[in-house]
Amino acid sequence: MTRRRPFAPPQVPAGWFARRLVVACGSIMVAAVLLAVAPGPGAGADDGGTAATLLERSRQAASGNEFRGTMTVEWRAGGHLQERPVAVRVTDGVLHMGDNRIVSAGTRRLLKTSSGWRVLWSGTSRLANPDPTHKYRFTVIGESSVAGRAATPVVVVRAGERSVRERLFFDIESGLLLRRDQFDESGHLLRRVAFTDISQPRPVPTTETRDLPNASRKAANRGPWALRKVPADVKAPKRVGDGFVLLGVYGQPGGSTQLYYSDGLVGMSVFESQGDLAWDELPRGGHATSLDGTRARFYSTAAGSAVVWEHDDVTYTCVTDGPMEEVQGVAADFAHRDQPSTLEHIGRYVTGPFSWG
Amino acid sequence: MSAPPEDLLSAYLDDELDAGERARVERQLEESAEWRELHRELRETRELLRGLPIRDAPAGFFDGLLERGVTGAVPIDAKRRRTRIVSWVAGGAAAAAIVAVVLVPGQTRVKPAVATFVSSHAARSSVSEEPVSELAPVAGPVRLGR
Repeated sequence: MTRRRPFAPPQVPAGWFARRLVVACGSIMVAAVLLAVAPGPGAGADDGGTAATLLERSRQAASGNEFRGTMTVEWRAGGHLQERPVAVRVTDGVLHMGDNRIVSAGTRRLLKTSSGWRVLWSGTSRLANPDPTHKYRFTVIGESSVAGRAATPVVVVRAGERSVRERLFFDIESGLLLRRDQFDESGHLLRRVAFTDISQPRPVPTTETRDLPNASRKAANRGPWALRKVPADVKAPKRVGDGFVLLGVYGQPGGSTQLYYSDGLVGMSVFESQGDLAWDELPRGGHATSLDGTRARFYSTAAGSAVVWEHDDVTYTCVTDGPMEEVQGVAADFAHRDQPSTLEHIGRYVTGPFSWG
Repeated sequence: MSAPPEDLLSAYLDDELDAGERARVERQLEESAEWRELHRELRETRELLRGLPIRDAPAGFFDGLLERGVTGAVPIDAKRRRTRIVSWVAGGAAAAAIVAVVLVPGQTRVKPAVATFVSSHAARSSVSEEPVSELAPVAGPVRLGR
């Protein structure tokens, strides 16, 4: 039979509390120091220098390697994710995409159409991209794998925010961008471009002369051209929205003017056309929206967002590979047009009776 | 002999009389110094007017003309002459309007080529950014979704 011993507190050796207190305080201090220096989204962590190097290397890698593979393009439209496979091949320094629908070499881009090859782009950019670290925080996270290749993942967060805006995966060996995920402010996937399979990239010299198809002579197939001066009737702010810097002004074959902006990571084009927007003749699709009280129409495409609106007898079309929210601030910047000059006042008075619409 | 009718002489100058009227006027011009004087004044006035720049008629001018033409008992020759004036002025106004429409650009309606702009933007971005990920989305037809 067991006798119960009356309850008695355990004996504590002398100095036990003091030692525990020292250990606890020390642990707290070490944890505080580790938290302060440890990388983490939104906590001021920044691998901006590394990310900038990776981005720059990826821009050169596409033309500096021969490879073939398949990419998947996913994008959100109408609340659903759309998906499209794209064949990619680089041979003799020429990039072929989508069953040879697009060919590219150097700074020349051609699109195959029913009326021949159309020049999508031809020409260099005289101005360098702005530093993306002014707007974004980059964090390199260990190592990952895309299409069976070892990759360096980089997480991109907007300064002052905590939610991830982009994830980039760079091929460790060649520097190719293997995958790019873009998210909206709520964390939903907006767009993903990723290799699902890719051959072993083989480095090639980048100085060879590349043969591209001859572009059609039709005027509609002529590519945009760089403008030395901004046309008098075009408003072209040097900076718009959240950190977008004007990098070029171009004339378009259809008569509009293209202003190209970049924040260092995302590009944005604003197309200005003189005249009232023919709302009833806009392309089908899209949905009605509002830009700071201005009527607009939004379209989602595999290449990004497009928004159309009009202001002060000018029709604007903004296209960006970034999220729609970037356009909100841009529209406001174009709304504040200069007051018309005396000559414009006279012109409007004289031509007023003959105008319509 | 009565005073020479100004409208008849004016019609004579415009070569709008038939052969009988024309012969009668020419006979009067040979016989009457008063007719010859009025004929000279009318001819000089016409030449002077032709050398002047065309001005817009004052507000209500055409309405007044029309009103008088409908309600007033206007002699047939006078009616013809006024109709001629109205025709000249109206023709000039129409010509001026056509010139204005041709030379002065009116407000055009813009139909933005959204799909083309999307491709153009992707192409421009591919020059400054990583080209494969920028061009892959436009390697197929550009669909404009919601």
